[in-house]
Amino acid sequence: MNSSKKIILGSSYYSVGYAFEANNTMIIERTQLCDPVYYGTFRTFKIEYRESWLPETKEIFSFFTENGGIKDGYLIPTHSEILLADFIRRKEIPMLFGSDIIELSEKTLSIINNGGINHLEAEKIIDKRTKSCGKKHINVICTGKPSNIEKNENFEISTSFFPCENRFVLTFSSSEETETNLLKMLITDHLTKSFKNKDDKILRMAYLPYFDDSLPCPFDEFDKGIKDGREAKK
Amino acid sequence: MKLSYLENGKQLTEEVKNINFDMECDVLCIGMGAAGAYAAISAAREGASVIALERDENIGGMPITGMVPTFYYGEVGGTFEKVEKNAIELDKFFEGGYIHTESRHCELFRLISTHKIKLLCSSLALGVYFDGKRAIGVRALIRGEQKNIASKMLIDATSEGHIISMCPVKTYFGRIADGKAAPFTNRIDYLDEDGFYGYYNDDDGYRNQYDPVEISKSIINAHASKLEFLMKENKEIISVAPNIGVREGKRFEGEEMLSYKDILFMKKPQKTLLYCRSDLDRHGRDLAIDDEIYQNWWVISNLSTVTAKIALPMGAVVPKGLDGILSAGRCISLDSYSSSAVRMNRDMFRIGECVGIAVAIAAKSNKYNILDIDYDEYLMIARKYSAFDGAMKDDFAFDSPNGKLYRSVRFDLTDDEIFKGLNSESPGEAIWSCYISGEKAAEKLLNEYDGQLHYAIALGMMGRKEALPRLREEVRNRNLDYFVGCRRSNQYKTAAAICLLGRLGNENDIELLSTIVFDSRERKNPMYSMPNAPLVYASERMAYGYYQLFTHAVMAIIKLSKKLGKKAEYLDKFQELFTGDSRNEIIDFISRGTPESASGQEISEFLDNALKILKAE
Repeated sequence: MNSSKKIILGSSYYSVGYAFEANNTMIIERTQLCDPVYYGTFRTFKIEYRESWLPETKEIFSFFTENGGIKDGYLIPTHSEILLADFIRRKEIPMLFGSDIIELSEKTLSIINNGGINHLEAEKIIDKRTKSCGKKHINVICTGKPSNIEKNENFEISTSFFPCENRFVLTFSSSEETETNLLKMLITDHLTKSFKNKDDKILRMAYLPYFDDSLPCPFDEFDKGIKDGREAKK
Repeated sequence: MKLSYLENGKQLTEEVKNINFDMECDVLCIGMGAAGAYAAISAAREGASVIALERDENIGGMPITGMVPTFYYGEVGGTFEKVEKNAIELDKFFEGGYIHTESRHCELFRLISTHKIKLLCSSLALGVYFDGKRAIGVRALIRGEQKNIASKMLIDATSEGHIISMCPVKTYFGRIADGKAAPFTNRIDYLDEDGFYGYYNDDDGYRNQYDPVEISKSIINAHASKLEFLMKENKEIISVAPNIGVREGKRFEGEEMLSYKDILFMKKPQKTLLYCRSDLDRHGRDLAIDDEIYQNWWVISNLSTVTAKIALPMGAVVPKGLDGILSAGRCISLDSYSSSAVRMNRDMFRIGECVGIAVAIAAKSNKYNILDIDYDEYLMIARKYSAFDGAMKDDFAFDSPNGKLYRSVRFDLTDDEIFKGLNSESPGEAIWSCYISGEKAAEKLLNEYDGQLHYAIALGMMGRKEALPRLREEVRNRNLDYFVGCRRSNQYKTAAAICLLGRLGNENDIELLSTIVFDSRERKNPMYSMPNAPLVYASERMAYGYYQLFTHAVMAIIKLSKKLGKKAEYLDKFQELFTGDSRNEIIDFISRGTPESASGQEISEFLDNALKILKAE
C-alpha cells in the first residue's frame, strides 16, 4: 500500500482518468462507491459529446452509451456505478475504499480503515474530495409525473428531469448543518403527505447528500484527468 | 492513562498524559447499524446519556445501507418489530410495493430522534483510552476533527470489531483449519417489467475484509459483476448497495465463548443475554475442510438447515479481562461456525437492545462490567420489551425463514423412531440421535444391521468399523444419490461414506479414494455433468457433485496418509496433481462457466489449503 507514488483523495471521473493514465497512482475513497459523485447523489448530467476529447475518453463514453449508462444524452446515475466499476476493474486501477483521512500534508497522510491506522507517503497528493459547504441537497427519484408538491418550512424543493420514462427528481435543499438522517426522515414524511396521484411514489433516495458545487461533465473530468495524468508521467 | 489503537493491522498501546475530554456520556456507542442503533435506543430509554458515532452518513447498517430488506431467521420480538410495522405502513408510498430499506431508515431515525441520543455521523473512533483495565473513552474523528469522548460504558457495534481490535484482547478470524470466513455479498435492486421490485445478490467471493486492498478489489469486482445483470432485458436497476454485506468478521476472546457445539448439544450458560435463532448458515461449499463434528451435523446427518434456539451467554459480549467495553452485533466471542448462526439481522437488533439495557443498568449502578449487574433486573427489562426470549417453541426445528413450514426436530428418538428414520430417505434426525446416544445406540443398531447404507453411515459416525464394508461399497459404486429432508443443500450419501472412510479406513481405502482424486478419467463419468437439483449451491453452474466427492476424497486421503505414516508419499502426489496442467484441468472442470469470484477461486483455495493441511503436523 505504501508504494504508490501518487495518491488521489476521492473517487471521481477525474480521479479514475488520472490514475489510469499516470500509473503508480492510488485512489483513496471514504465510501465503498466508485462513483460517489453521480451515483451516490443520484445526479444526472446532460453530456455534450466533444470531438476534442482524447481517444480514451471517447472509448469510455462509447462503453457507457452501449451499456445503457447514457440515455437521450443524459448520464444514468443508477448505472454509472456498475459501468465505472467495470472500467476500473479492467484497467486495474488501484482503489482503497472505506478509508477516512486523519491527517494530511503535502506529501504525507494518515488514514484509518478496516486495517487500522496507516501512514502513507507520496510524491504527490491530489485532493479531489467534495467539500461540504453551502446548502445541503438530497435527491429523490420519484415515479409518476411531477405534481404540485407542497411547500415545507424545513427545506426548499425543486424538480428536475430524470432520463427515464415516468421518473422525475425532487431535490430537497436545506442548510449545511441539517443532519442527513433527519433530513431524509422529514423528506419522507413530507412526500407521503404531498403525493396526490396514486402513481406518484418514492423510488429511491440518494445515499449521499451533495452541497453547493458546480457539477462538471463526468467525461470532461475524465478527459482532464487523463491529460493531467499524462503530464504527471513526464 | 493509555491509548490503545490499531496500526498497520497491529494492536498497539502507548502512555498518554493530560487528556482533556471534549464530551462525556454514560454510554458511547460506536456504530449505528443493526445492533448499534437499538443499543443506543434502549440505553437512552433506560435513562443513560448516550453518544453514538457512525462512520457512514446514514444510520442503519446492513438492513438499510446494505439494502437487505427481508429477514433470514433471527428471532422475532423486541423494539425493532414496531419499527418494522411502521415501515411497512410507509411502504405504500414507495414504488414496488415491497419493504423498502428507506422506509425502515425513516422509522428507525424517528425512534432515535424521540430519545436523547447525541448522534454524530461521518465520525469514528481512532483509539480507546484505558485506565488500568477499564476503557474510559475514545479518541474520535468527528467529521474530520479529532476529539476525545469520555464514557462509562463503551459499545463496539461496528460489526467488524474495529474497536475491540484496538484493545489488548485476542481476536480471531475465519475457520480454524484455514482461516477462511464466509463469503460476502453485494445487492442490487431493480424493477421488473411489470414494475415489481426485486433484488439480487450472490456470494460475491471470499475475502479478508481487514486487508483494505483486498476488500477494495472485491468491492470493485462485486459492482462490476452486476454488468451482466444490467444487460438483461426488462429490468431497471434502481440501486447498488452502497455497502457490501459481510457475513463473518472478527471474533474475540470473551469472558465466555459460544461454541457451535454448545448450540448442537444445547449447553445453557449461567447467564443468558438473549435467545437467538438460526441454522448454521455458513455459505461455504468446501465442507470437506470443516471440523469433524460440524461435518457430522452438515454432511453425514444432513441437518444443515435445522434451526436452533441459541442461548447467547452474557459473557460472550464482554472482552476477557477488560471493563468498560463490550460488543453488540456480529463481532462477539464465538467460533466460526456459531458465528454463522448468530448474525441474522433480527438477532442483531435484539442483541443491540439487550446490550443497551445491560449497559444502562451498569451505568446507573456504577458498575463497569455487565456481568456484575443485577441479572434479575436485566431479565425483567429485557423481557418487558420482548427482546430476551424467542418465539421458537422447540430447541430445534425444520422450517422456512418465514416460519411457515415449522416442524419440531427431536434427537431423543425412541428405538422405533430411530429405525423408522434410518429406513427413510430423511435419516438425519435418526443418525444424530444415535450419535448423541453413543455406545448403547451403536449396540442396538448392530443387532439390526444387515448392510443397510443409512445404518452403516450412523455406525460409521459413531466410530464403528463394522460399517466399513458397506461404506467401501458405496464409494466403489459411487453415485450422486442424496439424503432428502433439508430445505436446501441436501448432502450426497457417497460424500458421507468418503468422509467416514477417512476416519476409519486403512491403506486399501487410500487406494480406493485415489481413484476419485488422481485418475483423470474420473472426471469423464457422465454423472458429474448432470445438474443436481435440489442442491441449491450453484449446482447448475459447477460440477458440484464432483467438487464434493473430490474434496472429501482429498481430505480423507490426507487424514489416512497421516495416520498410516504415508504423509511424504502423498505430499509428493498432491503437489504434482495440484500444480500445472492438472491443477488447471481440475479448476476448469469444476468451475466451468462460473464467475471468477465464486467457484474458481474456491477450488483454487481448496487445493492450496489441502496442501497446507497435509504439510502441517
